[in-house]
Amino acid sequence: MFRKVLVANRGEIALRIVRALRDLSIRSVAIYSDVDRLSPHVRYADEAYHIGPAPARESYLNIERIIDVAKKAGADAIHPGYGFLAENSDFAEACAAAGLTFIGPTPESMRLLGDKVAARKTAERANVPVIPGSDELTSLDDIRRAADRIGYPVMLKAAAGGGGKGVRVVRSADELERAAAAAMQEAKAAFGNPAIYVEKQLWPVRHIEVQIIADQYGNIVPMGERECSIQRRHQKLIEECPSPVVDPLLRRALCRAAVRIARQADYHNVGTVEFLLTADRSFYFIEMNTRLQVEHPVTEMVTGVDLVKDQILVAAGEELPYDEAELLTRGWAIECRIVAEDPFNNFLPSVGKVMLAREPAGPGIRVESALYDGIEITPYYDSLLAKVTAWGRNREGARTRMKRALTEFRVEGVATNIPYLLQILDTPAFIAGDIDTAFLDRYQVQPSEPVEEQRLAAEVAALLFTTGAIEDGRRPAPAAPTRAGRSEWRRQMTLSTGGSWWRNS
Amino acid sequence: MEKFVVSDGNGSAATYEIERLAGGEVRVRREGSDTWHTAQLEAVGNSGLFLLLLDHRPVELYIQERGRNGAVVTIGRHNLKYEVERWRPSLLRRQESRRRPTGLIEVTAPMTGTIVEVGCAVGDRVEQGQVLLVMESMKMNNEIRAPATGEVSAVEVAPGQRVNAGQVMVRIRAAGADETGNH
Repeated sequence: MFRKVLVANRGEIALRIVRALRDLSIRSVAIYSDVDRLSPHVRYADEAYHIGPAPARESYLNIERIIDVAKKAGADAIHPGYGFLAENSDFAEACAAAGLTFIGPTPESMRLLGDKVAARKTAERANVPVIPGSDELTSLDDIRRAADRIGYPVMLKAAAGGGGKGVRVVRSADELERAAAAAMQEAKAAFGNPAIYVEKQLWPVRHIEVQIIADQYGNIVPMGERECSIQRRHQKLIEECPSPVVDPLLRRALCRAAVRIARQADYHNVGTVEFLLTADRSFYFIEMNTRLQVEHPVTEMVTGVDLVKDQILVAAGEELPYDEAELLTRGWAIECRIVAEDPFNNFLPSVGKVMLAREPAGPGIRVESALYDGIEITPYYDSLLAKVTAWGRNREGARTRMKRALTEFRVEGVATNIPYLLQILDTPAFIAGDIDTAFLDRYQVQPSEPVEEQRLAAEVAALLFTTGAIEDGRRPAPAAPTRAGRSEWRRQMTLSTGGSWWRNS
Repeated sequence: MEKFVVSDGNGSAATYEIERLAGGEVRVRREGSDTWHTAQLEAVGNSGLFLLLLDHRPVELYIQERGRNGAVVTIGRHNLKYEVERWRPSLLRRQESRRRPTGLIEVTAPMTGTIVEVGCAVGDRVEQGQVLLVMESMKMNNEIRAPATGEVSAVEVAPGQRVNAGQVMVRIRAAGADETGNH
């Protein structure tokens, strides 16, 4: 077993991993950039090392520096989390070369699965259906030829991508040039590799994915599916486990396909095999994420398994302590991603200081977050602030708990998508489980003006606050008057109130 | 009884009467309404969070000071800015004159980021909603659109440039003299 593990990540996922390490009595090593000095993942770890300035390229993506820190700290393994270096086979190799265990798949199976084009070939060899598509392309001519062959509408995707970045939908040939240029630029900015591939756009579809975990002894356990169809610009927003449309027969077929792909790539680690499910209930492999996934808590809530803990155990060479038949699932879980984007202002990223963060709690609620009062939300990293997961005995139970939790969640200082999430949870289509990946195109954010009741409350609060009519008189004394008019105002106020008219005694 | 004017910065104002009752209770009435509301405001620790009991209904609010007589009240997702002044007959008239319409609009950066693309030039006529430029923040490209129809009078950024939230990027002379500066 490992004695000390470096967590090569930040934010809520770094904290999640630090917690799993503590549960396993393994010492944790945090790394942090300039702007993350006070992050909870730093505070809760056993050791913490500064690794560079805020831009990810110079800190959380700096392989050499991270390996140096791991050696200096005497770590025997590195957990990459998700994003950053989690699917970078160079990093996995650098870890191995430095005598460190990379908590993830081998570089070989990463190459067979991590790159989307290679993954398609692996899936085809494993006899799993794939979406019609192209190879990895970097020239506009090749992209145009591929799109013409496949037939519009097509999607352009970053070959090295994940998390929906660099994805473009092209409906007709005349949109292609502009979209391809933008997709390649985004792919280069996000992943350092401009290569993209072209894929047929199936319509309408659900995004269904299967969580698996595999040890080094050939045991591959599928843990059921997650439904992640609620996406905005290909970025998942709400995920649930199980899916409202997957019955036991379909689940079995999905799980078998996922296991075949993992076996084909000699895979060991946690992993997620993603599929598109069409209305006629056929499914197509889209990609495999060879890492822990953002939405892993929904699977944990219904299976009771600690995926991060078990991921660390299989990386340390232990055998999985359960097989598929022993896994019991119970109830329903829904996760909402809370992001610093303003739904009422075209989802612009909201940066700035979080003055106040109050997270929800109570039965069935789990919050993964690295928020704290005073945290500065910077433009350097993605906009995920927190994940709220709600468990219920059934879908409706999970949904109503989620609504309650989101209503309790208070983030002051930066705008969040919480009001939009609440609107989505209340749409009849979501309640009925009638969702597909275009759901959010149909249910865009509804404008919300303060209702008369809220206006009255806000005005009364402003009135009591500024005139000092607060219960405990906590408001600081007003500054010295600066103008004659102010002095007059103050004098009158004092005369008419005896100076302290709001006090109880 | 006291009388105050609570104005919201968008030019609308409400007059409130406020009265302290025996037992320390405060009641307020919005002018034009017959209803008196009991009200109690108390800070929750030092966090900026307040509990307002309005007719015994609890409302959590986040309140920040704003100048000497002002407050920014956050209720739900709404940030509302208020100025509170003692009522006097001339006050409402003065409020009116503060709303000065302007034909020159500044398009400011809504967040810190990097300019990816500039799609307008000085002298261009732009329609409301037209994309002026594209900026990148949090690994996403965001389109910045014209808040009103008019003529571009200045472009103060170039592709690759880093901009801070609030920085002026483009100036537009709005078409029509009755345009306001709201954006």
